Amino acid sequence: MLEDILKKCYCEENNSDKNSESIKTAVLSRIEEGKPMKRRINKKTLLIPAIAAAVILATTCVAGANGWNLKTAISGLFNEDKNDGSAFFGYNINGIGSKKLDQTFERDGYKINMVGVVADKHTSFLLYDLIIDEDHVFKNDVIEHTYSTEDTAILTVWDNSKSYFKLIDDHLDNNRLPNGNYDFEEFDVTQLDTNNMDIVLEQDGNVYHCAHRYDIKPLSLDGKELAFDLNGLSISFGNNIFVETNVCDTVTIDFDFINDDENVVVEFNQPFTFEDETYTLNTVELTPFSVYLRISQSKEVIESEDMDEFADNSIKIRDDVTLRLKDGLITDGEVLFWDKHTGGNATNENGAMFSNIHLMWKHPVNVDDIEAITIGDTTFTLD
Amino acid sequence: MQTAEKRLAAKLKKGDTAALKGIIDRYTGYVRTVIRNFSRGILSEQDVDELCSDVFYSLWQHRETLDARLGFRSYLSAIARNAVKDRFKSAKPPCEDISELDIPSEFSVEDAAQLSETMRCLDKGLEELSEQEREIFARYYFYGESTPQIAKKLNLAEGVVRSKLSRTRSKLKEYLTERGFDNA
Repeated sequence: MLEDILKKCYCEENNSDKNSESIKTAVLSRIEEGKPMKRRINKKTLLIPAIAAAVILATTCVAGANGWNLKTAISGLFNEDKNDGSAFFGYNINGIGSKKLDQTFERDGYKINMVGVVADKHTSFLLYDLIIDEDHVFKNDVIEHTYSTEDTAILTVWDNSKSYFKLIDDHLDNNRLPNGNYDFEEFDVTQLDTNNMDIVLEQDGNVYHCAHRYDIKPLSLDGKELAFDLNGLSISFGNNIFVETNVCDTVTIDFDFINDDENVVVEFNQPFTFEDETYTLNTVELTPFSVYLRISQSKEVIESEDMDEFADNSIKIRDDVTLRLKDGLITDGEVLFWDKHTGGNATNENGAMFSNIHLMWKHPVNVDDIEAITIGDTTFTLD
Repeated sequence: MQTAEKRLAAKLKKGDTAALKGIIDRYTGYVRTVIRNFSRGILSEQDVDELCSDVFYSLWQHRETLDARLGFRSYLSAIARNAVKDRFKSAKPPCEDISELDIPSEFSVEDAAQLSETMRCLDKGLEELSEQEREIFARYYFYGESTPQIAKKLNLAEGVVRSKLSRTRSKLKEYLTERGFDNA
C-alpha cells in the first residue's frame, strides 16, 4: 500500500537525474572494502577462556600449516597431483567428487580454460583459468590490473548476461532446455538454482585461476549432464577489468562423479526450543561442503502470520547453527558466498511448517570429525 | 511488489551484487528525490549523492531482513530519512519539519529486523486510514514533502494538512502500540 503511494508520488514528477553510475561505483567499493573475515571462530560463552584460547591457537596452527580454507583447498585442483578423489584436498574427505575438464575457448584478447569441477550433491564449483593476453585492451580503458585476492566474489557474472545453465533431465526426454535468459523462477522449475558467484583463487601473471559456484538443489544428478553456456558471459574484476564474450560455447559436464555414499545423514526428530518456540530437528545431512537441516514447527499453521513468523525464525535459527569438531573446534555456519538460505518453507503432511536450511561451511571438513551440531542452546550429538 | 522487484529482492537477499546494481539503477532517482525533499533542498548535490550511497549500502547490509512483500521504496525512504536526520544531528535542521518527524525517528535502521516488522505493521495500519490520510502521511513521512507542498498538490489548506497529519499520527501510534511497538 505504502509502496503504491510512493510510486505515484515519484511518477508524477519529471525526474531526470537517474544516472546511477557514480552511486554504483561508490556502493560497490564500500562492499569490497567491507569483506568478511576469512574464518570466524564462534567463541561460545560456555567455553572457558583457556579453551577458547586453545581453539583459536589450534585454528591458527591448522590454517597456517595447511592453508585450511576453501580457497586454498580448491586451488589444489590446479595442482594435478591432488586431483585424486577422496584425498582431493589433502584430507581424507568422503562424500565429494571431482572431475578434470580440458576445454579451452579462445577469445579476442583472452581465453577461458575449463579446468575441472568439484561437487557434492548440493553445491558445485566449476573451475577455470582466465588467461588474458598481455596486449588486451580492456573495455573501460583501464590498463593496470588491480584485483583483490579476498575470498569473496570479485569476479562477477553479470546479471544481465546471457549465460545460463541447462539441465538435461530425464523428465525432459533428454532434450536440452531451449536457449534463452532463464530467470529466477525458471531456475526453480528446472530444479537448478544458481548464485552467480565467482572467485579468483589465485593469480599467476596474466592467468587468473577462478571458480564459479552454483547450487544444485537436492536432486540426483547421477549420470546427468549440466551444460554451462558461455554465450554473452560478462566478467569484471571489481571496477577495473571488464571482458565479455559474444560467442556461444558450451561446457557440458556429466555428473557421474558425485560420491555421496558416505555423506552423513542422521534422523533426529527431536524437539528443541528457540526463542520460546518449540521446533523439531528432523534431519541433518552433512557433506564436506555443507550441512542441510530439516526443521519443522511443532504447531499447526493457523494463519498467514504463523507462516511469516516461522519464515523469520528460520532465518534466526539458520544464523545460530554451530558445528563442533572432535578436536574442540567450534565454527558457525557463516558461508563463503553469502548463500545461506532457508531453501523454501512449506507445510508438511501435518499442516506444520518445515524449513530446509542450507549452510555452507567456510572450509571443507571431514564429516567423520564432526562431533555435534548446536542450534541455539540445544546440542545434537552425532554418534 | 512487482515480479521483477521480487526477483531482485530474492537475489539481493542471497548476496547478489548484480541485483544490487539493478536496484541502484532503478531507484537512484527516487532516493535522490527523497533525500532532497527531506533536506529541504539545502544539501549540495555532492552531499545528496553521498547520502544516496549510504542508503544503498545500508540496504545491502540489511538485505537479509528485507521483506519482499513491502517493496523497495518504503525501505529506501525510511533509510534515506534517517540518513538525512543523522546528517543534521550536529547541525541546525534545515527546517522545522525535520525535527518533527517523531514517528520516523523510531524506525531505527540500526535494527533492520525491527524496521521490517514495523514497516509491515505500519503498512497494515495504513489500511485503516482514508485514502487522503494515507497519501498525506506517505508524502510527509516517507517522501519527505513539506506540509505546504502537500497542501498545494492536494489542493488543501496547509492547516488541514497539518491537522490530518496530527490525527493520522495518533491513529497509527495507537495501532502500532497495540501491536507491541512500544516506541511508536
